[in-house]
Amino acid sequence: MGFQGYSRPDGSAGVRNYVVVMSSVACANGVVQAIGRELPEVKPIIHTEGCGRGLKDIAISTRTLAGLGKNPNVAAILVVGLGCEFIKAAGLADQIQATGKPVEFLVIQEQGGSRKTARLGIEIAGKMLAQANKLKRQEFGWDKLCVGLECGGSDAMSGVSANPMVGKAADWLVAQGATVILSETTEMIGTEKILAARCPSPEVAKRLFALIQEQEKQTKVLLGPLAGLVISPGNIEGGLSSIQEKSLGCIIKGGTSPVQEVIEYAAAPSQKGLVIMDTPGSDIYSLTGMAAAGAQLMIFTTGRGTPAGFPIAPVIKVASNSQLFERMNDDMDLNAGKILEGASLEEAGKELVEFVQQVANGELVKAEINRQDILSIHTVEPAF
Amino acid sequence: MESKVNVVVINPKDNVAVALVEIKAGEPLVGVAGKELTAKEDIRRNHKVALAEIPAGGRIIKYGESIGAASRAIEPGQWVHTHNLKSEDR
Repeated sequence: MGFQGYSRPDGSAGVRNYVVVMSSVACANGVVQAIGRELPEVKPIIHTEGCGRGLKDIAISTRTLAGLGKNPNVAAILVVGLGCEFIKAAGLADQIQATGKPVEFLVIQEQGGSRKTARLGIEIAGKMLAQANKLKRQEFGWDKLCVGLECGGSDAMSGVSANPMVGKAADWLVAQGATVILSETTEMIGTEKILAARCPSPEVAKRLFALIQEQEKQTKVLLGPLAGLVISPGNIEGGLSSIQEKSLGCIIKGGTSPVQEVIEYAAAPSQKGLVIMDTPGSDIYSLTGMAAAGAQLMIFTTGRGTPAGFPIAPVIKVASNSQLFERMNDDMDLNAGKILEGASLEEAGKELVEFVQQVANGELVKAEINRQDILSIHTVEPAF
Repeated sequence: MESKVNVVVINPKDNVAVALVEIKAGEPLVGVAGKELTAKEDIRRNHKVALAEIPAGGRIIKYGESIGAASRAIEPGQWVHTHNLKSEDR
């Protein structure tokens, strides 16, 4: 048995059924928000990108925004542009249209200002909502599900309870034919040999090896004398004895399946099973990249506690310890802390799988109830 | 009365466990399936304790993978950290 989702024209399945209004450039954010205020059912997507960046960043932002529009959780989308920006609303709409879902776009300079554009946008999005609300959930196999994994605000127990619990669920999902994305290249430093040995294809192994080594070099440049906090020798005071031990504690949330593919930030996987995405370790950038790759649902472990969610995908929060689960219960969905009190890892993994199914079927997670709709697009060069 | 779990073994292949509380020398390790072990020295919270004999140069296994090599022979119940674990490659 799989999950109850929303059928999309490209054959994919949404676990949510959102009408999205998205800006193609930061300058259109005000209009997107105005539409969102008028139609609270709509999911507004605003961001800081779309113009004033070099070619590398324009490519990343375009891939990210188009990918978010293509995400199966999006039933229909209205893209709002300004007119003179690099990333045009028409171009994004065109890319998203390849999925066959309803797509429209508006350009503020062409419509004659923000109020006129917002008025028209409210009309278009209102019609999209009426159409989307007619859709009913139907049965899909797990092969239609893509799950993104994340850890943030970690503590000493994240690698002992929560991440191994997620790893059990990840192995189960992969065995059922689902796609699981492991992200955060920084957290893989030191484990390149271990991960490369798990790649069935030598090309994938080579790419992964190079990616992690490059990340280590970059981390040293970016953090200078502070790089030791991320790279070896681990957290000596906290009992971690080597960089391998520290990084294994992070990557264990991907389970033990073969690594089928290594993908760029926000790029859609072409393989089922476990795939690795090159993302920053910073949570929000990483969540955005995985959602843009098509992840309909995300699992996020935390030891110190973070409320972060995502506008168009449920983010399941797994607390690494019972104290956090109780203290920040408003934000936590599941408690891995019970593993530290004698519960078996297998049982905890099963509990997570069951919750994933409930959430895929429509049960709201805490981040959705709290409307923790946060999004950041990764950039690699300065703005100009 | 059953005592409270004080260590966690993450993978059945592991030859170390993680201490969940401060464990004093002589205290039993509770949470290791099929083995009766005692701490040979004080183990700090979140630190590792050996579950098997690990010869000098032998692999220290956690998460089912090598996290380093033993820089000297380690006995079951001993504390495992940078004083007797050598990280590879770095």
